[in-house]
Amino acid sequence: MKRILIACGSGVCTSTVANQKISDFLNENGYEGQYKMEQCKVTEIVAKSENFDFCISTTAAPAGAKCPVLAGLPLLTGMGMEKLYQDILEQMKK
Amino acid sequence: MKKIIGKADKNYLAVSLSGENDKEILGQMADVMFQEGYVNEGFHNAIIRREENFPTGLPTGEINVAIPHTDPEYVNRPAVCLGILDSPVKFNVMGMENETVLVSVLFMLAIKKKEDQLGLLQKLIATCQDQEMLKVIQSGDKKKIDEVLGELVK
Repeated sequence: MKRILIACGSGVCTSTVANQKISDFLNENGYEGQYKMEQCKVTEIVAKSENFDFCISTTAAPAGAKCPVLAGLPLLTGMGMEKLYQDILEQMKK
Repeated sequence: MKKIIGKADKNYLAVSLSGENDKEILGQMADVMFQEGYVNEGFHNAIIRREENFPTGLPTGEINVAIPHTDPEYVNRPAVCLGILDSPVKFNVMGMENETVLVSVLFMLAIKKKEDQLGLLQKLIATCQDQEMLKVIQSGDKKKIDEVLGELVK
C-alpha cells in the first residue's frame, strides 16, 4: 500500500483536482486499491511527510520533507504531464 | 471595469477589466464578487495575500490563465468570476518560485467545500487546458461565455 500526500495552498482547491487526476491515472494503470491518498495544505507537508511514501504538490513545497515531493503543476496546465506520470509510476514501483 | 454577465441567481459573473498589476486586477474582481454577495469583506485582502504566498498563474499556452482563490471562511456562496483582461498582466506561476507568466484570462473562485466543488474544478481545469475555448472566452462573446460558465457551475 502506497501512501500519497497531495498538497496545495489550502488543501481544498487544486489538490482536489490533482487527487482526482492521479487516482484516475493510477487506476488505469492497475493500481486500484493499492494506494491511499490524503490532501493537505502545503504548510503541513513537512510534518506529515514521514507517514507518506511520496507527495505531489501544486504549490512550491517547503524544504525538509521526509519523502520525495513531485511538482503537480503539469496536472493543471497539461504541459509536461507525461514526465510527471512517469515519475509517479517510478514512485509506485519503489 | 465592465460587467459582461452578472445575474445573482446564477452563481457566476463575467467582467472585462484592465490594471497595472496582479493586485489591481485581483482587487477589482474581489470587489465585484463582494458587491454580488458571494464573498464577505475579508475576501479582498485574503485573495491578494493568498496570491502573494501561493500564486495561481498557469502557463497554459498562447493564452495563459490564473485561478485565484482563497480559504472557505471568506465565502458566502460558491461562485466563479471570469475576468477578461484588456491587456495581459504579469502573474507568478503556481508552484514555481521566481517564474512569471502573462495572464489574459482569470477565473476567480469562491469555494466553500471541496466535496461540492470537484465537478466545477475538473471542468475548470479542462477549460484552462483548451486554447480554442480560451480564445472564444477572450473574444468576449457574451453568449458563449454564458454557456461556458453555465456549464462550469452546473
